[in-house]
Amino acid sequence: MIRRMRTTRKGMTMDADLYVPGDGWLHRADPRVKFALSLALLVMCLIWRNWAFMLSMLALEHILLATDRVPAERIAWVWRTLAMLITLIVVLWPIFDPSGGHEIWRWGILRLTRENLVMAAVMGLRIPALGFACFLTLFTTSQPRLIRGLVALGMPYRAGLTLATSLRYIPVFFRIFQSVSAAQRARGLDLNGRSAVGGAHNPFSALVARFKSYLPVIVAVLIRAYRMSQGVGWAMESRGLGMPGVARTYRVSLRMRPADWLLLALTVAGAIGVAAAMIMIG
Amino acid sequence: MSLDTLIETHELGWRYAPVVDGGRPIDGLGSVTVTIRSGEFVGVVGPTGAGKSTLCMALTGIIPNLADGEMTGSVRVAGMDTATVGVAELSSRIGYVQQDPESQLFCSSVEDEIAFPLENRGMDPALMDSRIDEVLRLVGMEDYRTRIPTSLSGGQMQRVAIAAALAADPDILILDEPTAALDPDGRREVFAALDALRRNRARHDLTVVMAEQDTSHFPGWADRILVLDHGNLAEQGDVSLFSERRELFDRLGVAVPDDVEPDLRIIADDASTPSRSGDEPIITLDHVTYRYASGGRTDTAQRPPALDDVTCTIPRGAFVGLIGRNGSGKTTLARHLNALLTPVSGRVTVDGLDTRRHTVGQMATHVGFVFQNPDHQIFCATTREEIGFGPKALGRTPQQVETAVDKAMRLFGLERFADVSPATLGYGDRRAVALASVLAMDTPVLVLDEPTAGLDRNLSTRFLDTVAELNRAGTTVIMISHDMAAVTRYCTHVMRMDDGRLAEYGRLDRTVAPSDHDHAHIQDSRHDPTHENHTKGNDDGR
Repeated sequence: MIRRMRTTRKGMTMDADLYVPGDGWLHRADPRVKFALSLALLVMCLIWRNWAFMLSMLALEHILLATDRVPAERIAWVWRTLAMLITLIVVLWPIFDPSGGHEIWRWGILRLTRENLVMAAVMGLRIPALGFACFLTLFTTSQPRLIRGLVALGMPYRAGLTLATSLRYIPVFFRIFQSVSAAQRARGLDLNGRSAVGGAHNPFSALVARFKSYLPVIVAVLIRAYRMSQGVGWAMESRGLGMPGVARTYRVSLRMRPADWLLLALTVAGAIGVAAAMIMIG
Repeated sequence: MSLDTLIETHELGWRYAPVVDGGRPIDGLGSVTVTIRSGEFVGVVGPTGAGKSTLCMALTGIIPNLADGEMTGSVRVAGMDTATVGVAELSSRIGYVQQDPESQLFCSSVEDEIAFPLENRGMDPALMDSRIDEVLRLVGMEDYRTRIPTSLSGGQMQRVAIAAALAADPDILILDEPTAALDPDGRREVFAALDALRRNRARHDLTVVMAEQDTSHFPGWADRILVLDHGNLAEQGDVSLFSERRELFDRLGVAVPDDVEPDLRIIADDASTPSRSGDEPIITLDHVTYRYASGGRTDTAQRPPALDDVTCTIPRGAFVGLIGRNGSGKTTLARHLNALLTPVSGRVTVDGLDTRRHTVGQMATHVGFVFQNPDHQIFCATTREEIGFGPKALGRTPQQVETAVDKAMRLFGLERFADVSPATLGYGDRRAVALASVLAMDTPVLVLDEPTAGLDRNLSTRFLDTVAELNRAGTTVIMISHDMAAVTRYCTHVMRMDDGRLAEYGRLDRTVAPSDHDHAHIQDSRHDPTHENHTKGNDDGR
């Protein structure tokens, strides 16, 4: 039986890139237009703090991804990845923002109001809304088209290559983190901050201990990342990156099709329309 | 430099800059003078740390242009002085393949990897597609053109790296241990691709410099062999060196081509009734089944099991060789022994503990686990701290920790590195630190994942002799390995996994003649001509 698996050495697994191969309408769209779409969504989500607006933006982003046939697994992966951050923000927001006139519950300095609970929900929705705004482009734009789009907008090639390569290695480093965690746990490191032989902590020292327990993992990952980035840099130069006296060419060419102009027009019109509506609503 | 001399090094020396402030420079090469003619196939051999990779880096110009250190002497490649010409410019004549596939494939598809050097040279985009097809065909990867490199096996990734190095039609191909990071399947794939390339090179007059631990293909391929030791050229000559200077290779720990890996013969045992031997079991696997979940999927019951109803017991004090093809379930099984994985069904008991009821941290007092990649383990500022981390995490007293650290450092000759950052050591020494770090935990069970991979024979022997000493003192050892010579020499028992099932298990038979067919007869996958071309991967997973 042939299993489709990926590795180089044992202990070092690799998995899919952020880019999801496909041929949907977003995949075919010019990357510059997708940058504009993502930027418009990001800006709008950052400007307005309205739960109904955030929900609408999230719904729109899911519709765009679904109609491009991005697998539901990938969408679920984004939610899983952001779940901890969303939870933290929703829980911590009322603690750090006790404002609001409609008090529901109070205990010392902790004050729950209708207003800060609504704002906690808005902030909780804003995180995935911002995330999906970025993933609209990242899931649907291959590395060469991403670089080509950035260069076409005036970014130097090396900067575009660095950005695209960094994105390409995010899943790799995530998996290195998992492998390193396993190796350190096997040596008795408890990532909950306890030693292998147990021991009680008060909540604060437990939190500090938990943070400190991740240091061995983080340091080992950084060492591995350093070695890998050095190899990547050498590989790039040994394949002619920055060859003097040569005008670089690109296998991938960009061309604005009518559909791209239409998408760009819809993005601009949509952004203006939403802005006008939100201003009118107040 | 004569007319047909393409590469010439003159008293080439290199010292790596200290990685940390106040550290010592690390010697890479002493004084190497060598000339390589156009069209030659040169094999570079030597023990771990001999300077093979450093020499390759010097020939590509990475030394002295990109690596930090101090160079003496000179290197001229195709008439260019590497001290004054940049790596990118040198790359117009040189293709370079590194050891580590994952750090040299940085694009999002195979075709993009091949296009990258073509774009950098300003090639007409209209001509690129045919060139991409041509080089992928050369390494047998034409069907993988649109694949994401990270979805490929290690061997396939190295073939893509070779294709990328050849894309711009260089005169010289430098291969720095292209199979060192690969399992037997991957090695076989890469050697097959190189064989096709070798047959093709006569047409293109390609000069090849190939550093490699595995010398088995050099007799048919290499025009000349360079033997490095401690950064210097110890010997050079044609492939007859392997027979004429056998004692040199033995001394250096370099396997010579006629070294034949032994066949294993095991006394087939009924794994479910091991107690008949009267040995006290320390590990019991009772109908263990395990399935991996995939991203976002919950239908794990639909996936083929990574471990399929595995039942066996391992007696205390055994030295078990855990063998099998990639994806057969070796690593999955090993990870059940310290609760990194727990079975979907069945039960694993180690040293009296049910692994489902204990955390990995709690199991660490009973099971030491040495991972293959030492860089996944090393993080401390000094070797002493690194080795002491495990015993300290297990709650040992400072005195016990100190005693354990001193003993482990002595076992591996690491005293001279006690106050040195282990991350700055060479590969062999980092492996020694990783192994010493786990041995210092003094656990009754020791699991080793490919402990000899990438090491020369002398280092392998030194490591395994130390482990064997612990085994004789009562430690139970489980060793995942593709090295059949090591399994034959050290193991008392052999477990062979196949597609998640325990295919064979029993004592290693050291007495029966090879013709006796009453006993199991197994070999590593590299000898199996019917073996499918497994895409290796996720073998953390398998």
